[in-house]
Amino acid sequence: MSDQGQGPAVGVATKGPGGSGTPLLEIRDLSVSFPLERSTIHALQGLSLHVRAGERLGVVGESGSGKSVTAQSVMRMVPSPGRVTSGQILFEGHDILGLSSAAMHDVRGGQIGMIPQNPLSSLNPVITIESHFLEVLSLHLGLSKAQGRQRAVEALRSVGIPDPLTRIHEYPHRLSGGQRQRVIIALAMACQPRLLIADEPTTALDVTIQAQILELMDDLVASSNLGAVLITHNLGIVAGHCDRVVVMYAGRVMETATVFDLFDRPSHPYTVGLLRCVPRLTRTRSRVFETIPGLPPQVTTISTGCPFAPRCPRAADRCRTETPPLEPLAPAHLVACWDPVDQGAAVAK
Amino acid sequence: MTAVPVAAGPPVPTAARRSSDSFWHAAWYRYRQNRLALVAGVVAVFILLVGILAPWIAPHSDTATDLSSVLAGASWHHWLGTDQIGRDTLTRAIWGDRTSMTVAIGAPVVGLVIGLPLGILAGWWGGVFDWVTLRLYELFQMVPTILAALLFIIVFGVNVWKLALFIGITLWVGFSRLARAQYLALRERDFVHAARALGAPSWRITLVHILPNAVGPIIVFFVQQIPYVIFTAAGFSFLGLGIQDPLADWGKMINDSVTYLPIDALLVLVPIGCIGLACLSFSFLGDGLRDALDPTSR
Amino acid sequence: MVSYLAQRFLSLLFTLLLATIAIFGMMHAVPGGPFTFTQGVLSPAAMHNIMVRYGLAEPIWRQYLNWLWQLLHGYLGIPFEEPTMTVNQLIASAWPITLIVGGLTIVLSYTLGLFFGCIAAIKHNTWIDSVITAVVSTIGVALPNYVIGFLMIEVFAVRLGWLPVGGWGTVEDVIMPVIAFSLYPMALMERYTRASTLEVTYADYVRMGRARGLSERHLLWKYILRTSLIPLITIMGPWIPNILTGSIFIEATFSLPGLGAYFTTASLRRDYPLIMALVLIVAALWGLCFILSDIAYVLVDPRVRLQGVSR
Repeated sequence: MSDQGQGPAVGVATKGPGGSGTPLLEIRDLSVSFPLERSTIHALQGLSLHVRAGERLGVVGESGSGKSVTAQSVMRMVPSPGRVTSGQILFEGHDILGLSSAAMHDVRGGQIGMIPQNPLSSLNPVITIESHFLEVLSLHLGLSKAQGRQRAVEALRSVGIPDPLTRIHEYPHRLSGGQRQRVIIALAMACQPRLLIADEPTTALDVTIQAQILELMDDLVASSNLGAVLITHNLGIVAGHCDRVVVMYAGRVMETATVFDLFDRPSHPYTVGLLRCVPRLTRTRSRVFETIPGLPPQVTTISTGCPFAPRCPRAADRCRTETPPLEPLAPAHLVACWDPVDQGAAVAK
Repeated sequence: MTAVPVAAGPPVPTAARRSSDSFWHAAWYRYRQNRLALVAGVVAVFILLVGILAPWIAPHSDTATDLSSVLAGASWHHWLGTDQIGRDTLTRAIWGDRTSMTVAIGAPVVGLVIGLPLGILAGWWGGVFDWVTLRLYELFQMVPTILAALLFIIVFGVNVWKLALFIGITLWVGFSRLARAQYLALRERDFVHAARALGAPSWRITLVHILPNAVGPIIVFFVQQIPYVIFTAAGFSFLGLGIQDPLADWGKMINDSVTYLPIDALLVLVPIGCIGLACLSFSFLGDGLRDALDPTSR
Repeated sequence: MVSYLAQRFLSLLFTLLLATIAIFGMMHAVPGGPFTFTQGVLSPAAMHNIMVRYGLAEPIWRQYLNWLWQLLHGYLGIPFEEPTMTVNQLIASAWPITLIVGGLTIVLSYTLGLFFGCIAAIKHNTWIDSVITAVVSTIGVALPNYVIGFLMIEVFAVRLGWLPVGGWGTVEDVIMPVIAFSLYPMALMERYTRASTLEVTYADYVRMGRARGLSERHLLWKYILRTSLIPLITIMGPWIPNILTGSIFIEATFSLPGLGAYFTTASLRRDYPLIMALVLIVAALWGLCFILSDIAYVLVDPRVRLQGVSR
């Protein structure tokens, strides 16, 4: 586990830019907007990313950058009045957006599992843990009660819940936050999905539990060769538990690269700014917290030009008028910037 | 990592944001969106105004009887007809508005005045005070409100103010409970802790800091009691126990005119219509206020 | 559980006692007794005899204790207005009527209210929701139930002759009072059900259930309704005694010989034994219903423990 907040990651990911073959999940040019009373919020604008089997993709960004909407779009659970206005989402080659309702129900839980942010409120308070499992196991795998019960116990055991045989009969409120998150992970994995989407899975937990949960997820992903999307605002988590990273801002991708490349040679000014914001325990020179001046925008108009331009120290006129496309700087390292930071002469930390 | 100069300049203006709405602005905006509530609000204000201005806008005298036209239908002279002793129905309805509204607003005020302080104290201090208050709730809730008011009337007699008082007394528990729940919840909020840490005295915290935050649901509750009071007061008059002659309120008008229904339906329909209009408008007003002040309740 | 029940019962008894003392005191506080309204003017001697006969000559606290003592023996006294019967008999003849009307009202208003509320919430943001809410709310809330009752009599009994004008004896007598009485509780019930169900519809665990692929139908029954109906218990409970003790207005309008009528006349005539008995019944019913609804809550919601329930 890498030390968080220590600058460039020090050799962490247990796999290389993992995965193989065609992407498990591919999002092409996705746009999602929320038409509201007084305005329309364009939560996603032309978003593209992909995840392969066995690969962990981190999606990083501030609040409002569109990370959660991305996850919701894949599950086709964007809350109304939001809707997908253009783009494609391909899961194992099939267009998710074109699936029927019934088919989508199969996909959810059966092929794609989701781990939400708030474990305290994500379980049905009036049914037992066992019932939670039996529901999905009979639905997706057609298991009988007896079989389901057995599976449930195994699942709980595999996520490290002690004494699963008794726990199974309890109600969610009897478990702690960390335990509930484990149960949720177990539930998400129970039907052997091929893709896991975790939306800030540890934000609501305290730090020691965070570490355990993340390790647990790493193990599960590795042992089942899943694809995983890890949405977070915490760069440390990304450094320690992801193979590739996507940096989002204002509903668009700013930069995407392998973990090594991103932390070693961040090229988008936003990424650079983000990394500078992480307080370093070892640097004694400055005592001031670095920030990126300004606030992220509420995207209510589709404008041309780079969305980061107002806050970018390197912004030029071109940046304000023309939208920079996402282009490769190096193999597997894409940046959406007219004047990316040149990391050629990288200074050692 | 290379050093990238982060411009140390003046704060960069962000994309345009609406100036932050205060709670009341936002509530007013939401309220305006709700057409039904808007209409209801206008009607409710109209009804109140009629009551206040009654002495000046009633076309005829309240007690003048015109025995030459008894139980007449609508006419130019008497827009809504006359009753069995020749009094102008429109006038009676207007004065009835005044009476009914006095009770309808007065009773919740009484309930508020009694219930709010008790609820605040129970919610804020807790402990024994709270325990006693809870027992009081149980005690008062055992006797259904209508029966209690009835008893009061029988024992102490009735006039407009007494009616408002008695019905009001039966309402205090509702206000008190609400206030208590609000204060119990708000007591734990950070801004209260901050105020205490700064040494603010209790009375200041409860009145100046917490009250403006608690007041939303209380206002809604207040407005919601109005139709209930109208019902109840009219009900007593309907039974002959409410307002007495020569005063009128709508319930009494119904009661008086029932026997003449076959001859003069208008006489009965006017007070019924008034009650219906008042109840509906205050009900929808209450709903609109609730939706505006608490956006989480859809 | 047992100790909790015992505790609640004791506190109920205590409060009942207080309530009866309060009412008793209030009745006696006002000048004029039950016999100042009789037909003729009684001579002081006759008046004195009557007072002694009915135990009214004793000091108040004695009168109260007498009443209490008799109560413990199951004896509620003799009503002043009907000296040939006992209060027990009078209540026994009147209350069933109120109970029947009340019981039917509860069944009708609760089921319809729940039903409409659920549908309105599920079809939230569609025309169905708007229509239901508008109609149901308006009906229940626009006019007092006795006015509606009166209008119903006019239309259905007088004009159309389909239903009887009032009184008690046949099945048809029940229809209009129950309907009129049900409108307001039904409207309230619909409102609360809708609000509660809506709140749950957007809850995290429902969304997560959907994310696991559970069908909308499964989500509706096991996730939404199962939890949204719980808070309704605390609302439904307290109305029951209200309804079961009848509406004096409805009973007056439809000429039903139930408890309500007696309450009015008893109050008017200062019929102490009758009043005390009525108050006692009402108060006891209330207390009982509170306790029962607390217990029901505990049974239905696994998150609630008995100690935590405070009113």
